[in-house]
Amino acid sequence: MKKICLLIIILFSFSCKVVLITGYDEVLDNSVTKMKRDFNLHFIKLVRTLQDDDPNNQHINNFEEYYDNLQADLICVNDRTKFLEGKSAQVKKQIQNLDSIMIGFMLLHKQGFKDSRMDDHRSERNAINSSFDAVIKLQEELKSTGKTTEKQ
Amino acid sequence: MASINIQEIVVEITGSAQGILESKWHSFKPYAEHEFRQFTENAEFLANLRINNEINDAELKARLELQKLALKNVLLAIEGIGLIAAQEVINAAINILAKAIKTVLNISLPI
Repeated sequence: MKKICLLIIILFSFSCKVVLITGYDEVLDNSVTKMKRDFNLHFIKLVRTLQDDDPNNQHINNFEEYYDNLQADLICVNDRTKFLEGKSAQVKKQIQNLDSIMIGFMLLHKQGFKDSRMDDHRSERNAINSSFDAVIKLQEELKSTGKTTEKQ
Repeated sequence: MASINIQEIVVEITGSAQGILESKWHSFKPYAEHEFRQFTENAEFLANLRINNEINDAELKARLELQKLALKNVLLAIEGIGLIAAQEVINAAINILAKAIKTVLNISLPI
């Protein structure tokens, strides 16, 4: 009998579902997916300029529009994380990292990419895609748990 | 008076936890393997560029920093998936206990 009472007390003390993590946001999910597509389109165009005979066409000035849009997107997704609930630390940190990695890539481009047949910058392409995929993967998992974003 | 069969509940909760964790592991494993392999290949690619003097130390450092940030994001995703799995296991266990209590004592818990 004591065991049953204890069980009931424990279960009543929970009173609702246990939530350890939140952070699914449809707008964030869609924005990051779009940013991934935009980056890959940009990268294809950039690499084309690195593997031709023109040493100047890869200058960052020729890609200003992409970087302007990128910075606007980063402001939007960063702002979006401010509205996430308390247990969304992982998602918030992911967006901060994504911001740092994208700005880091832009700075690398600003310093200058040289023409090279050997260096196609695949390491940066892979790292940035991994970073996008990590955000998208966690969003998918949070979405599929369904009620994880319900207020408790 | 009816009583709760603790042993039966433990078996049911353990089975439920195993099912949830196995399902998460199956979806998580290929993702983690792919990302860790990618990270290793990227590091090898950058090391080769440095060995062949395609890039200098400063550029290598800056490009490795991007790799580090990307890996951090992957690890955050893995941490998040782990928390989701733990959350599902706990809630499934609570549901099983609540059902058992309702059956035996006819008390509905607010879950």
